[in-house]
Amino acid sequence: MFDGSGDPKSLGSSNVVRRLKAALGVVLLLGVIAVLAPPSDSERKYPNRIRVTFWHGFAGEWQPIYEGMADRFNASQTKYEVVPVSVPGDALTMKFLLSSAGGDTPDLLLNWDPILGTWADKGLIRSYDSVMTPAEKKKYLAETYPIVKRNGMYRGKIMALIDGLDFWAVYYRLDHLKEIGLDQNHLPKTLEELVDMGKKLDRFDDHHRLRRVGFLPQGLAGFVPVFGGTFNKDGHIVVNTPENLRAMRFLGESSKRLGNDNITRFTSSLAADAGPTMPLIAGNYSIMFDGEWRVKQVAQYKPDLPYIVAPMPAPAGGKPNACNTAPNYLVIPTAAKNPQGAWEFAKFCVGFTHPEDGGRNMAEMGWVPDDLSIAHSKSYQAYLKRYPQYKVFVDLMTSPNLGMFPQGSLQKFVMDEIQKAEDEVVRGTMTPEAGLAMVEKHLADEKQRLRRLGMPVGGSE
Amino acid sequence: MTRLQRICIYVVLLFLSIPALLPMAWMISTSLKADKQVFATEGKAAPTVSLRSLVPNPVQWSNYPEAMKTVPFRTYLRNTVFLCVVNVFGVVLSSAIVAYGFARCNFVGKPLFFIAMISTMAVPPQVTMVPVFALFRALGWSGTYLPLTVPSFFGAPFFIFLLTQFFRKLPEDMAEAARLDGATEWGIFTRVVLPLSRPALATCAIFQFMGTWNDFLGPLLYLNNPSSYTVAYGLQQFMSKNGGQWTLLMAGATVFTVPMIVLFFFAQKTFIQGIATTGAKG
Repeated sequence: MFDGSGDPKSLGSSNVVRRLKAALGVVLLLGVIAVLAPPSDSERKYPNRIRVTFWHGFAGEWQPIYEGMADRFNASQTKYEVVPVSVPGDALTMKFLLSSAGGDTPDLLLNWDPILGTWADKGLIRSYDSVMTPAEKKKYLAETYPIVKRNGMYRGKIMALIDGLDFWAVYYRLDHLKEIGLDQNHLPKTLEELVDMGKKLDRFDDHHRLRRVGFLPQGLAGFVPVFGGTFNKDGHIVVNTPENLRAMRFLGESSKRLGNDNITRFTSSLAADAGPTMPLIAGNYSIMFDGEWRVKQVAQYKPDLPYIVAPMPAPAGGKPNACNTAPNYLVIPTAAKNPQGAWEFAKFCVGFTHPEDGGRNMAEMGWVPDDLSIAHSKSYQAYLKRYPQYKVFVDLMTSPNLGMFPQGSLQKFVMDEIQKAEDEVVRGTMTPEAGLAMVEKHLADEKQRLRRLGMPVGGSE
Repeated sequence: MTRLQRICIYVVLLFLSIPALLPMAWMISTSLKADKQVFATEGKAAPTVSLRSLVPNPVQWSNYPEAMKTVPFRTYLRNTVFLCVVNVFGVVLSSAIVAYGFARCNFVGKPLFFIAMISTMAVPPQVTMVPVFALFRALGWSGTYLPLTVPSFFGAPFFIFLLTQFFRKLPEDMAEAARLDGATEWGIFTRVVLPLSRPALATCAIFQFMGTWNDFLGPLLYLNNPSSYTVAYGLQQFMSKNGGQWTLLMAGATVFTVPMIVLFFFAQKTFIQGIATTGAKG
């Protein structure tokens, strides 16, 4: 029509050519789509079994470990098939909340965010009491380490199994200690001695800028149990206690000694927190109060690093073998389609009924077991033989002086407030007393606001 | 303009581009370094960024295959390209049809419909996230690519607006001439308007391609099978695993970014022309 010739024959042939071109284009596009089209969603090896969907936030080197666990579980019985789904850790909570709103949750979820109280109070997760037999519950209550139970239970109910509980202990660089004439037989016996040792290990450049820090205490939650404090008392969150105040003062004084600007400049210049350039390996710190995961990282990236691990020595009036704990929660959503299958797999992961399986799982992930039978399993003992430094953390498990983050619906709120107060204190813009008073006031205001709105305040309130 | 003036302008422009280029240069440079080269190591003071420090020595190409081994990048790439092709096709076609209606057809309530369509742009996706998720779940689409592709066949408000503006500027005489020759409205659309609108259509296609390539939220919400993950989603996983391994992380980020840069370089002229002619530039 618009080819300009005006000849009807030419007009007809031109139309045919155009249509052919268009058809060819469509066929090509469909071809490209067909080639690129992903395979159908058939990841299942046992399609006749009951599907148990399991979301977790582990990727990379940890993902195959969890997939291996699922494979071993699937091979161990004939009723269920666990389908593990790795979700980016940072987005796991959001994905779960949305799936809950849409009514399409997984059957089991592993999350390390501070969610237990909030999700339990909102009815997003169900209690394990509903899927355990009385005998299983009795066994759980009798054999599980007390600190694991405290982390997994909320308002008297078992709301989560703990699949990996993080602990903190002190890492000493022995080559640095040697510089001041000390060795592993001369570790500090009190926190005060530790601080003095750290001072001797500080190194500055010509402009008095920090090149290396002997010991830098950071994180109030980590030091509260060391000073004999707590954030949880009789089902309530407590913040402004004499022990917690001492811990906050300690952080403020440490920051003042080195100078907050100097510390900020130093910490900003550090490389990544994990991997071959992590501070312990890079020698940025001589003494670090750090988690159990470092043992495996050091073995992976610098196996010949001269270091030793020991529990944090207590300050005067404080408690020995104390540290905070941080759990990975295995929770069953309320809308789970197969809660019983979820329970079976959760048991398998933590080794609840099969300590050898549990020992292997814990060893592969580099975690501390939930009970003594798993810790004594052959597979876990072999792991401890390979990583002897890890024993410090296993021994810590039975300490009566372990702490927990604030529990309940307001857990995240309080932790954020504590962090703000700590920032102010270490910057020197607020006294420790004022910092904790501020947190307590904000907590009271928030509780009042939630009550006004008819929302759960959490804990026993 | 003299040669000297031109040189001066280029020097100033080059200087002004440094803040934008430096992070990219650091990303590429880090992706080719060994771990020890990235930051100062034991006992040394904080590193300073200098041109010299940006040059990897020796060049460690192995970071790339190593990074690619960590996640099934080829699978993610295939999935992403699939979504890009389907979405670009769907959104350009549907938006053009709707835009033609707004630009050239008269119907009752047209201004009202147009305002309603425009106003949907003001609603943040987070607001509609839950009901839309519930809708797709009710349709049984959760866990499939349908929620990530089908909506693109119903037009995108921004593209409809962009194309409407463009179509309105095309001379009406050409459509009139086609009508006189017996062309239908569909014929005018496909054989007169669309061929004249290539820059605007290309702009929409590029925008959509970039949007789909970078989309993290959509796959996060709807995909539950690792074999159907996209590059943006996979990169997030990659980051959570390689948080400490800057060299691998930057290699992964470079691979993720390169297609976008290549696309922009090739389509730069069309892209700018499309934006300029639709009046969408600021």
